[in-house]
Amino acid sequence: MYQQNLDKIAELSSHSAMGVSGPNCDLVNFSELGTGLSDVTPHLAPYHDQCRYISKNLALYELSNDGMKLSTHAQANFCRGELAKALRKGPFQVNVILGGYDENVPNGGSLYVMDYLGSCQKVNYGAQGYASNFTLSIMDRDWEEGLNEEQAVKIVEHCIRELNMRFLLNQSNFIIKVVDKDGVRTVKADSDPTDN
Amino acid sequence: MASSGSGYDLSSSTFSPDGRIFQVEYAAKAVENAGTALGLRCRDGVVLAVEKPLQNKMLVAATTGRRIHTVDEHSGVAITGFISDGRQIVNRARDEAINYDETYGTKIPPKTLANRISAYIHYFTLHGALRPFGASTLIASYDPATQQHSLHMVEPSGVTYEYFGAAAGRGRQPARTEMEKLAINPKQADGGEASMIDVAEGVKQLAKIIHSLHDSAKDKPFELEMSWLCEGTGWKHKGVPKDVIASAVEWAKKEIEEAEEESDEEDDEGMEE
Repeated sequence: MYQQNLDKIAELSSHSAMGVSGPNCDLVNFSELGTGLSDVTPHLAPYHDQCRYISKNLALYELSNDGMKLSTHAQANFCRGELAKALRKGPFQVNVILGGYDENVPNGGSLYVMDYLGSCQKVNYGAQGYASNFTLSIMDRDWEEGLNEEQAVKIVEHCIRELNMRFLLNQSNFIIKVVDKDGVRTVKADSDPTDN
Repeated sequence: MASSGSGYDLSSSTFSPDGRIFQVEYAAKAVENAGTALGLRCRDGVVLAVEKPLQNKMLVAATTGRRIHTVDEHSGVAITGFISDGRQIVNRARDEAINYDETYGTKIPPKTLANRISAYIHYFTLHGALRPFGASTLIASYDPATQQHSLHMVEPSGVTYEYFGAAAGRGRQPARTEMEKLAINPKQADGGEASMIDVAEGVKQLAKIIHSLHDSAKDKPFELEMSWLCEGTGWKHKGVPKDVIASAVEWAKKEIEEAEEESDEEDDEGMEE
């Protein structure tokens, strides 16, 4: 029985976050929870280490380069490179959505969608996992240039509603995070249905 | 300051009793004896200039011994000292730039490039089995993310600083004095950033400095190699076109002549009294 309310969106840097999806995504944890999981499922420890590797390496860059931040574009390229390198050694088996805020980018935000084979694409909206089958068409319709946060969250909620209605295997527990000039913050976090 | 190493200068891995590593200082001396290299950070770009002494009359001029190299589209490097040592540094810099682009998908930022070159050069001052590089490196670079251009210099010891104007080689002391008179420091220039000189003016001024330092009696004849990285080149590192250098040199020679005439007149006046 998997954990129902795992936060699968890791904060990579002050102004970027990465969400993962895939068969082992709930094992591949970025937070301290990962260390605990390694005790429970030691044979899966390499997966935990690999993903922490990416987020910690991005933190290391900032430390060793005088506080200089990597742009979202650079972080995404680094992550993609690691996915590609791991492909022929011990593949990550996670698909990634990376979003971040940069001052000198028009409109500030940028979003990158990557898969475990090492592809990477800058997109206006994206989805990974079974959700993509249902939600990409919704976002195709609803997304337009120049949305504000409120409108964007409404589109995400629209997607969640559709999943609740149409997706057989759906677990209606979602966490929504926003990345903007003030950093990464949680907008909505549903409770664990098993908590009662 | 001539100071006998007396036994503490045989290896880079030996300190002297007064806390110096003589091998590194000797490496710096190798640079001091070589042709002058200058870098100027102007309002709209960076200019690099190197004096290339023509060693003997048999040399086919304007062909070999390139001193200024492009490291990546957006950055260039000028070297003085042991030119072959400099070539190694350039090759390493190019590797670093390519590596960074492949990992992060962006052009290497100027400070990062300078730090990487500096770390590489410094490495050779740590080992007894290796000798330090006998070359100083001037780095002109542009960061597309912040839209800032900058000039760095790395010395044989591995220290690197960012400069408004940098000089290395034979004529560095008088060159620095001359560069201080130019409006390149936005804090000291009267009109702030807007009154700083642009690259076209910078090219002329550097040509003038190099020519005025050159003593035609004592020093060998030389070639002038110049490059720039500016708005005009689309922020790509390029060689200054030959005709621009030629007209800058012409202007420089005229200026120097006029200055000499003035000081001759002043001498005459002094004598009359």
